Amino acid sequence: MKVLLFAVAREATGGRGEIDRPLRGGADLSLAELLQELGDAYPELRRVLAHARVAVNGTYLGTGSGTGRRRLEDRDEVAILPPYSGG
Amino acid sequence: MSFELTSRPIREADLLRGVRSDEAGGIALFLGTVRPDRTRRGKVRALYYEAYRPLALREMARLESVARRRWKAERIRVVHRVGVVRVGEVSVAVAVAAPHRAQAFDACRFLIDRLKAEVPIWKSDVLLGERGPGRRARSGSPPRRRPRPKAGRAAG
Repeated sequence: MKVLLFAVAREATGGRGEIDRPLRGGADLSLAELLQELGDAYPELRRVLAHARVAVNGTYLGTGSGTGRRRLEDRDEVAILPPYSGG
Repeated sequence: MSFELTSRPIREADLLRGVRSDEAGGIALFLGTVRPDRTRRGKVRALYYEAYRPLALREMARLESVARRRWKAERIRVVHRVGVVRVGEVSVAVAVAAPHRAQAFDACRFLIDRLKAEVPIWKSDVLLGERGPGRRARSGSPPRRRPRPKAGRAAG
């Protein structure tokens, strides 16, 4: 699985814009678990995650209560999207 | 597709030519340019833009369809730079042709306002500071609603 990090999210990981997180052999990971894992690995990222949107395979996740339980697959691309600042 | 992310300079004359239409009585053009801001870390000599392209294209297409429906916008061209954009250069351009001027102005305003809030593009300051050139991402305003799942401890 691939995690893409943009702008302040990338800075919070010391400049890593793309993180590979293999999910092999039936490994089971939910989105909430992935985000927690990232926050544990990069403590500065926790503050960013509090305000970031998350997309899986280029689509925003809804706000439904089950969203964090979404199971991730190895071919998924998860994007961490801090507040936008284009223009 | 009338939205483009490009690393090349924006030529506003091309945009205007692109939206000209016999049906449109008004054309509005917005250009956003890079200001020489001063930050605590130094003077801004350029901005660096990055985008999450697949989602940016989809979100912009959604905004354009709203503008077409709500203001009868006939033709729309939106171009945003990615990569390094120097002070004074155009970083974003929005051109709208509509039947009347009020519709053209309103649709143009809507598109640039919503682009800034809803399209995944980010700017970083490229500084010429005391410690030499550097880059620091600027954070935008958090979205009003936060469409993201609970992240357990990560959200702390």
